[in-house]
Amino acid sequence: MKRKLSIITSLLLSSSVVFAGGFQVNMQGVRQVAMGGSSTALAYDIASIFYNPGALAKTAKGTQVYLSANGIFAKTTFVSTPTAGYTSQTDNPMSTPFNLYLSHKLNDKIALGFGVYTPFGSTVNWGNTNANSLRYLIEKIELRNINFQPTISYQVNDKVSIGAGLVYATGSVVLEKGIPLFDPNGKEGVGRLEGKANSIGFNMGVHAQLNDRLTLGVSYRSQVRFDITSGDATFTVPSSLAANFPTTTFSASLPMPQVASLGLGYKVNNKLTLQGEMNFVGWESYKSLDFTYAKTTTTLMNSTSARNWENVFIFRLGAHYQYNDRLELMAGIARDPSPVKDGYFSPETPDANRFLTTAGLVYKVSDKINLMASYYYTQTDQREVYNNADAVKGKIQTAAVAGGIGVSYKF
Amino acid sequence: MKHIYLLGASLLVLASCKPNLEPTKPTSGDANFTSYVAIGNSLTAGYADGTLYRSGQINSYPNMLAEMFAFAGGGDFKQPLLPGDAGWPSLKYVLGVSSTGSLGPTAYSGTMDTAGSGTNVYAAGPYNNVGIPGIRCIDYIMPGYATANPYAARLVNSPMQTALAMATSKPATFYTVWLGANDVLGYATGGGVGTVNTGVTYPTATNNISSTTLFGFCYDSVVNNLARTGAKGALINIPDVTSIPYFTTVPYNPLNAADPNFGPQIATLNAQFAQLNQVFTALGKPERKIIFNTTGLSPLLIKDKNLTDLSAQMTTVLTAAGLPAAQATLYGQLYGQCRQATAADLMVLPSSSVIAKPNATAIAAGVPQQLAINGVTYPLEDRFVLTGDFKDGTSNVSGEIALAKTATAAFNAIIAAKAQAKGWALVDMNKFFASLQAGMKFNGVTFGVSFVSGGLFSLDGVHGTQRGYAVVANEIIRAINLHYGSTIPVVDVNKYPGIKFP
Repeated sequence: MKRKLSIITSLLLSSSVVFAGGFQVNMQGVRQVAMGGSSTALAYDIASIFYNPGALAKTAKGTQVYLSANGIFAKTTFVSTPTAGYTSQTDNPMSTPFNLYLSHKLNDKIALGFGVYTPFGSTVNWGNTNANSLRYLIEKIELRNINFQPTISYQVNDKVSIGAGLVYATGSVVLEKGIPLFDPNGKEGVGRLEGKANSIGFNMGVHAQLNDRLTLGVSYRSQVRFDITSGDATFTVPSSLAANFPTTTFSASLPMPQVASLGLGYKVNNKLTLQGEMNFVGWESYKSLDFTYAKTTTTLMNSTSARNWENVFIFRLGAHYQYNDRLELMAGIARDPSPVKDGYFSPETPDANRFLTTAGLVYKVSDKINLMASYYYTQTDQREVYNNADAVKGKIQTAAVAGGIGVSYKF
Repeated sequence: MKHIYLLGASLLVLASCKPNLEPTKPTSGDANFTSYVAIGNSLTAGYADGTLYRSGQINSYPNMLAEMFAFAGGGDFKQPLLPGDAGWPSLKYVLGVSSTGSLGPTAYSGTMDTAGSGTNVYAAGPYNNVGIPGIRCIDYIMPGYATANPYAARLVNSPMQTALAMATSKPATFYTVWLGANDVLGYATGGGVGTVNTGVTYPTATNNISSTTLFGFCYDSVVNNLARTGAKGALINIPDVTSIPYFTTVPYNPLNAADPNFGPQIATLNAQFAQLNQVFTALGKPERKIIFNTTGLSPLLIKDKNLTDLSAQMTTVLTAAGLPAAQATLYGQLYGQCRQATAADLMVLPSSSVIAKPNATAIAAGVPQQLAINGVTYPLEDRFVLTGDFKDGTSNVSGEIALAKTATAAFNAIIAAKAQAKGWALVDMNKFFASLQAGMKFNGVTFGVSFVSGGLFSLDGVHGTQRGYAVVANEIIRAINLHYGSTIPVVDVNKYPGIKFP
C-alpha cells in the first residue's frame, strides 16, 4: 500500500488536465473513455463512483482498487481572418487527468467507495513571444481541479440501486498574460495570477435493470464553485512603472458546472452491448470572469470579461464487445458541442464543437487483475471566432489525442 | 494479434495530431502588387522619435504593406536603410526619468552608430520606399530640393534631380502616395508663426501653409506621372494635424493652485493684474482680463497676434491713471496683445519645457524677472501656441487652428478629386485619425492618441510608434481591399515594438 501511495502522489504532482467541451475533462475511467464517454447505464467497474454512484452497489465486489490515467496531446491553431496575415498555435504540455477509486462491499446491499479524480481542468499555452498576437489576452493558463469523493451505494432490490457521494473539491489556477509595456531591452511586461480554492458538492445516481436487455442510469453531479479569495497577483513591468502595477492579491470565482446524465444500455446479444447517453452540462453559470484586486491603480483596474456560456447537451454512443473470457473491446463516438457562444471567443478556452471517436480494450490477466487501455481522438470544427470587446477575429481548430491506461485489482 | 494492429494505429494518430486548419489564400483583386513603391514624407520613411533610424525604417508602414502584398503576388521591397539606430541627423528621443521623477523624452545616449548616414545611396537603388522626411507636396517636383534636405540628398542621383524623377526611376505597378501633411504641419508645429501662401508662391520657409493652387498643381503632376504607365495605387489624405499629441498633450490650463510654487502667488498676481483688468474693461475688451483661480486650475497667459494690438491705448490709459511712464509703456508692450488661453487653444509639446519658467530673453531685454514668467506674467510666445477662435469684445477673432483646418480640408479635397479622377483608392486617414480619438483595440490591446501612454504616437508626438504605423498600415489595407476587391490580410500590430520605459 505504501508503494501505491507514492504513485498517487507523483500523479497528483504531475497532473495538469485538459479538455472536453469548455474545460470539462471526461476521462475518469478507461472503459468509459473508450465507449465515447458513455458510462451511466452500464455498470462494469468501480469508476461508477464518478460516473454513476448508483451503480456502485452492483459493481463493487469485495475490496477493489482501480487506477487509471490519460496522456492528452492537444493543439489549437488560430488564424486571423478574413485572410491570414498571422497565426498562433498552442504548445501545450501533455496533460494527465487521472483517477483512483477504492471500493468495499460491506454486505449484500451496501457498498462503500472513495474516489479521487480530475473532472475539470485546462492547460493552454499560446506562448509569450511576439509570434503570438493573442498574448495580451492570455499567454498561458493552468486550471486544475481534483475532487475527493467518499461514496455510499445501496442495492434497493434486484433491479434498482442508488448511491451518493460527498465531493470535496480542490482547485487551482495559474494565469499569465502579456502587458504591452517594454523595458529598455525591449522585454515585454507580464502579469501572473495564481490562486487556490476549495469547495464542496455532491454526486448521486440511480441505476436500474429494466429487463434482461435494458439498463437505465441517471446521475447528477452538482455545481462546484471555486471562490478564490486571496490569490497572488504579480506583475513584471519596467521599473519606472512598478508603482502602477503593485504586487497584490486578487479574488475571482469560477464555476465547475452541474452535470446531469441519462443513459440507456441495450444488450444485443451475449457478446455485444450498446449504450446511448445524454449529458446536460450547466455552463450557463459561467457568466463572466472577473478579477478584483486588493490594490488597484489607474493602470491596474478590476476587470470583468463577459463569458455568457450556454448550457450544452452532449450525445454519446458506445459499444462493448466481449471477445472472449479474457478480452473486452470497446469503441464509441460522441458529439460534444461548445458552450462558448459566437462572439465570446477567449483564447483561454479556444472551444469549438467537436466530434470524438474512441476505442479501447480490457484484458483480464487473472481473476484479480484487469489491465485496460483506451484512446481518444478528436478534431473540432473549424470555427469562425470573434470577440468585439477585445477586437479579436479569426478561425480556430483544435485537434487532440489521448492515450489512457488503467489497472484494477480485486482483493 | 489484432490488438497490436490497433495499438499501432493509435500511435500513428497520436503522432499526427494537428489541426488541419489552413489560412485562406489572399488575392490581389484588380490591383497588381508585383512592384510597389511608396511615395511620401517622414511618415512613409518610418520616421519616429524625432528622427530617422534604421529599425524605424525596417518597420515603416510601406514595408509592412509590402510584407502583406507578398501574400498576393507582391515582390521584393527595398528601403534606403540608414546604417544605425541612434537617429540621423539628430539623435532620437528615448524615455527618461527627470530629476523630479517624471517620465519624459530625452536625447538618446547609447551607441553612436550614425557614421556613413549622409552617404548618397542612389547607386544601390532603385528603392521601393522613397519617403523623404520633411518633404512637402510642393517640393516634390522642385529641382534642387535635395540641396536643402539631407534625406533627399541621400537618394537622388544629382542635387538637381527632383524627388519625383528619383521615385519614378523604376516604374511600379502599384503606388501609395501620402503627401501633403508637411504643407500644413510645419505651420502648425511652429505655433502658427508662418503665413498662408497663395498663388504660385514657393516658400522656402517650411513654417508656412502651402498655396492651395500650387499644392493642386504639384499633386496633379505627381499622380499623373505615376499613373502614366498604367500603374494603380492608393492616395492617402492628410489627418487633421491638430488631433495629434504634439498639440493635445500640454493643457491650456496647467497652472495648479495646489502647486506650492504657484498657489501662494495667486493673490499677489490677481492684485497686480486688477488694475490692468480695469483697463481691458475700459477699452471694451473684458474677455482679455487676467484672473488666476484661487482653487483648481488656471489657464496660461498667451500672446495672440490676431488680437487688435492695444499697447498704445493701454500705455495712455495707464499713464493717465498715474503710473510712471516707463512702467506704463512696459505694461502696454507686454499685455497689449495677450489673453488667457481657452480650451480652444492648443499648446505645442515643446511649450511644456518653458511654461512657468523665467524667460531669459525677456529678462535680458530689461523685463523685470517677476513679469517674465512664461505663461503666467509673460505671455507665452506665438510659437508655443496654435490659437483657437476668440471673442474679443465685439469682434470674433479667427485663430490659427482654423487656418490649418481650412488648408487641410482644401488639400484633402484635391486628393479626393484626384483619386476619383484616376480611379485609385482613397484612404481617408483624416477620418480614421478622428476615429482614433475614442481609442481602438487590437487583439486585446487598447490604443489611444494620448502621448506615450496611448501607444500609437512616438516620443515626438507627431509620428507613429511602430505599432502606430501598423495600425495605419491596416487602415490602408482596408481601403485598398475595399477599392480593388483584393483580400490582403491585416498586419499583426502586436508583433511590433512599442515605446521602451526605463
